[in-house]
Amino acid sequence: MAFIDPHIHMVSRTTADYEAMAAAGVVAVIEPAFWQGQPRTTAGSFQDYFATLVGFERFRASQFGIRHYCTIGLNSKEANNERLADEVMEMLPLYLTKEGVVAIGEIGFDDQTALEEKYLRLQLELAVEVDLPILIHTPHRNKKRGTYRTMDIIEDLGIAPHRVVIDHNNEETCKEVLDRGYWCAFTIYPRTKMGNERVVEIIRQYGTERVIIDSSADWGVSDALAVPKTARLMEQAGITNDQIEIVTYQNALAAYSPSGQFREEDWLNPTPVDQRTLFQGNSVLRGGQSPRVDEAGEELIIR
Amino acid sequence: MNSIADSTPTVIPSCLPKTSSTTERTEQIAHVLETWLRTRLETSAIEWLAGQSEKVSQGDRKGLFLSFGLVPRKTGKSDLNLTPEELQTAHKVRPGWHPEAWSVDQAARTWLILQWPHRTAEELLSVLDPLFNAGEVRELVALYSALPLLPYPEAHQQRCEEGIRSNIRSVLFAIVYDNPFPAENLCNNSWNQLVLKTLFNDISLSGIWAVDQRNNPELVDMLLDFAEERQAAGRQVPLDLWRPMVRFLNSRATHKLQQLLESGTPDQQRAAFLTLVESNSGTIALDGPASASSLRNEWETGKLNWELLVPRTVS
Repeated sequence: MAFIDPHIHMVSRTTADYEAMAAAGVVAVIEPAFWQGQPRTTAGSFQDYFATLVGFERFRASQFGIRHYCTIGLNSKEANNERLADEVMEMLPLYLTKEGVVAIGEIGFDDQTALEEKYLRLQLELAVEVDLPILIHTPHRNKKRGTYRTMDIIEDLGIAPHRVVIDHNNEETCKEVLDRGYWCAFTIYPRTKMGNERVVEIIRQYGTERVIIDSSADWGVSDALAVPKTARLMEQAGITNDQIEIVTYQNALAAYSPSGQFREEDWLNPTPVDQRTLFQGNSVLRGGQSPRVDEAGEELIIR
Repeated sequence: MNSIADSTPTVIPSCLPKTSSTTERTEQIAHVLETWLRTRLETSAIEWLAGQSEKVSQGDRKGLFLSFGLVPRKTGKSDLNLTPEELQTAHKVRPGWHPEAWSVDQAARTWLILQWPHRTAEELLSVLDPLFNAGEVRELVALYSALPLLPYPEAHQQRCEEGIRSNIRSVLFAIVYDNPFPAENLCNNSWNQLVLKTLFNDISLSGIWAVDQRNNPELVDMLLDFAEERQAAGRQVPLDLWRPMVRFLNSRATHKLQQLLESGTPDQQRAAFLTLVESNSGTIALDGPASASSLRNEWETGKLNWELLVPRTVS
């Protein structure tokens, strides 16, 4: 089975992770621009970070048979530094039209301040202007209220919910997100976000329509194999292969393909020109090749 | 520190047409690119490009940045597939320009840059620097391949040196292969880094433009050290490592080459033979080994040269 991890911060991960992910069947990843564990102090740090996302990181992934895409945006935490935020906003047009940029994101709320709302609105308007999908980060604290408030703002600006992925959902937020027509993503991230046993129950209850699984693996205690491991757990729980494919591959493809930058051919059948400049590997698992998660000693459950 | 001789680039004089200034040449190059694009792109893409060029030529920075990024979405990414006549034109307009492997988006991006109005190098760099600094992989390939087509070559020397440090293989290829800029503009120290970096990455030297013209004594020492380092580590020494020693052999190099000629693998013998015979310094020693006469025969009948022995690396 082939997987897409539509939310993972590969700049924080080692090349060994890429190898393990490719072996487990991950064919494509999306890396949303986010903060890096501590606040940046100059716009230049953002510039180099964005440049890495569209430059070296794409190349590094391609060397291990994985297609790398990204989303570009000003995250909510750093939106609270107004001077810096203005400089970053000025920089965004230079990156949003780059190849492999599939959305504006991850944007949204952290502390739910007035400045966070200001830059969320500005970036939502920018997404409309450049015609890109949107990836929303929902806050850890006061989550339910922050999630609803984000959706209210999106609707206030007249943006269609099918253009928006709302991420880091849990049992408390997912029903409303699905009911209002958004893509509803679950981040399988130990301890702070969602465990994969819980997500199996959620899928049993709500089905697979507009549901997306990702890892958000970063510099924290997280798991770059969360998507393939969750797929295996779903299989053990009796969820059909078709349904597994929908939440670990098809829905992410459908959500981000309106960008025009996210195509199955990129990894299934790259053009010769493309192969020459970028893609070195063939990531599709060949018949009989067993995914890495099958190996003895690999812990399947993520709590 | 470089010596005075080192800091003056060894420009290969015959490469630069003396009749036309760089500005005139830039206009000719832009015209050639436009002709290629017009015969290959659909009307909608041509119209879009014309509209963007209008903005760019009026100094619209945001217009250049956005259109530079958007190009592949409008033009596609197929090969240019230039005809032999078109390639000849390229060569005539800009000697050393080898757009054999260029794609349409690459040509369009280069063309857009050439529309930017400037009276000084600084005015051109005011848009080139942000484009380089924010470049994704394909953009960087296009930008580095375009260096030899831009005016003010001295202003792009550092950028070229920075590109040689790149770990992105396709970007490295764009600089070291089919690109006359490094040979024409880099000082010996940077040129030598380029040669070593190419060998270090297991890329054949055969695709480097004017690779045999920039040999120098320092490079010979660096290459000999590199060969010994590889041998000490039990790793293979690239066959064409000896190539840039031609004409600058020292006793240490000659000794090593004699050893290879006597006890190397058949291909190592060939590499050693080529280096010695092309240096005109190995004549006597070549009489020794029994295989030398058959190698000489191969060489004289055109069956032995560097391109055949170590063909171009296909990225």
